[in-house]
Parts: sequence; C-alpha cells; structure tokens
Amino acid sequence: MLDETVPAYLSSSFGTATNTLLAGGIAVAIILGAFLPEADDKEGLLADGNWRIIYGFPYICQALTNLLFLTCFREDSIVFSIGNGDDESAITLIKKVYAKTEDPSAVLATLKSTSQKGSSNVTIGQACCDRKYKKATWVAFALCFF
Amino acid sequence: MADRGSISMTAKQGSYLVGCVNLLGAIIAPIPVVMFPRKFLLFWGQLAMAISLIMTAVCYNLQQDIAIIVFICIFILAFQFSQGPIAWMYAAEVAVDTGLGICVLALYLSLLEKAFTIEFMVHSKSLGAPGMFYVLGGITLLGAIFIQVFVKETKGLTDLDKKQLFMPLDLIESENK
Repeated sequence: MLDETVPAYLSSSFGTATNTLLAGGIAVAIILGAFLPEADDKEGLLADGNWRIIYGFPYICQALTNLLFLTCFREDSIVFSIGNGDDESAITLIKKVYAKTEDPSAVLATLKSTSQKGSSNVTIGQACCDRKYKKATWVAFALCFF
Repeated sequence: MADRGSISMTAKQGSYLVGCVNLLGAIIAPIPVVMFPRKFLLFWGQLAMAISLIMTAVCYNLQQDIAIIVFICIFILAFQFSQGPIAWMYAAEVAVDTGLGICVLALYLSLLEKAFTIEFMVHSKSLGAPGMFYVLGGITLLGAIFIQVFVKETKGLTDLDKKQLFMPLDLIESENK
C-alpha cells in the first residue's frame, strides 16, 4: 500500500517504514514486559496485574488504526485506483500526498503511463502459473522464505 | 544465556539487548536502502547473516559467550539492512497483488518450519545449539546464492518496468504495444 501511494522518488525511504515500525512495536512489547516479575518468581507473577496492560495494549492500537482508516485514510492506494479506472479517488489522494506545487493531473498522467494495467484482478492460479506473472511470484516467494 | 566464561546475562537482559539492536538497525536502515541498490544490499546482507550464524556456532563450540552475543547482534543488524525491509519492498515491486499475498504465505511457512525444527535441533544430541546455527547458516547461505542468481535490480525503475522484470520478452512487447 505504501509502495502504491508514496511518490516514486521517496519509495526507498518509505519502503523501510513498515519494518522500522515493526521493530518499534517489538521494543514497546519489551518495555512493557520489563514491568512483569521474573519468570521464576511464581508468587510475584500471581500477584502482578501488569499483564492486563500488555494484553489490552494491542486492542487499543488496533482500535486507533481502524479509526484512522475510517477518518483520515479512506481512499484506496493511488495505483489501485488507477488500475480500477477510479481517477477521481486517485486525484484526491495525489492532492494529499504530493507537494502542492505539483499538478495532480500531470502526476496522474505520469503514473498511468508507468503503471501496469489490469493486474488488480489476477487470480491465485494466474499469479502462480501464468507465464506473465509466475516467475515474479516465485522469485518473490523464495526471497521472502529465505 | 547461561553464566559461562566471562559473561552473565538473564533471558530478560538478552531480550533488552536484542530489542535495542533490532530497533537501532531498523532506525538506521533507510540510509543504506536509499544509498545502495536493492540486489547489492540483499546479497551482502544475506551473506553477512549466513557468516554471522556460522560464526555463532563456531563460538558456541569454543565457549566464547561475548563473541556469540556480538555475532547475534551482527546478524540482527545485517537482517535490518537487507532482508528485513527489502524482501517485502522487492516482493511488492515485482509481483502483482495476488503474488504478494502468496509471499505472505512464504513468511508464515518459514516461521512454521522454524517452529517445528528449531526445538528438535536444539534438543537433538547430534546437532544441539551449535548444529542448529550451522543448519540455519547453511540455509541462509543458500538464500545468498539464490539472490545472486535469480534476483534482478529494481532501483530506479518505473512501476511498469518492475512488474515486467520477470516477464518473457514476447509478453512485454505485446503489453507495451
């Protein structure tokens, strides 16, 4: 979704955002875990109530995420909108994401000329077996597996 | 980690160290990703990961606890500069949306495989902890060879170019008409 939304010249910088925030989430979990008693302190573990914070924290984060999707980030990604012929949504998001100095119609035209058409409705069978898509799918699959 | 040789660390302290190095690596990661090509980072990062895993096993056999911790930290940093962010970026760049969904399956298959095998390897008399690091290092080394042979550079290409990177030539020509 990030890859399909941020301007091309920023894609390398934003490409690492997911992983950085994932590591940030792990750090938060470790910090919250620091308030728990040691694993061999059975009495302390029984008496401690901090586990409720650790258990409830992800629900609060998820609720905030859903709220943001319903309010601030309502549009689909720019590339997805273009692929589905919804230029109006694409323009709305281009105005939000790109610099004010850039002409949204010109950006849309550039993105249209550099985006692959009709790839949003590719089935699992086509992605795995069709000559057009299979090599990319399996190379990416193996890369993620290793 | 057990108290052995010149260092003593509880499981919690180990988690703090790993968490700090992981976060540090993730914060610094955008710098090399902007500066270097994807394939370069993927290959050398994967190679560094493989070497650090093998060196962890060697240090385990030599009972060098500080060196074990150092190599595990190197592994984490190498992961954060290569596979961690770039594998997902690369998959999103070259594969169609459905293909990316299949890549998520690859991640969970990989985690499932580790969940099944690591416990077995650690408690196995023939392998043990160092054997496990040797096996994981070997698999990671295979990954480095795979990257060198199959992965193509995507940095600087348009979305269309990236999606056509692995397409047969005749299909690219017909699509671009």
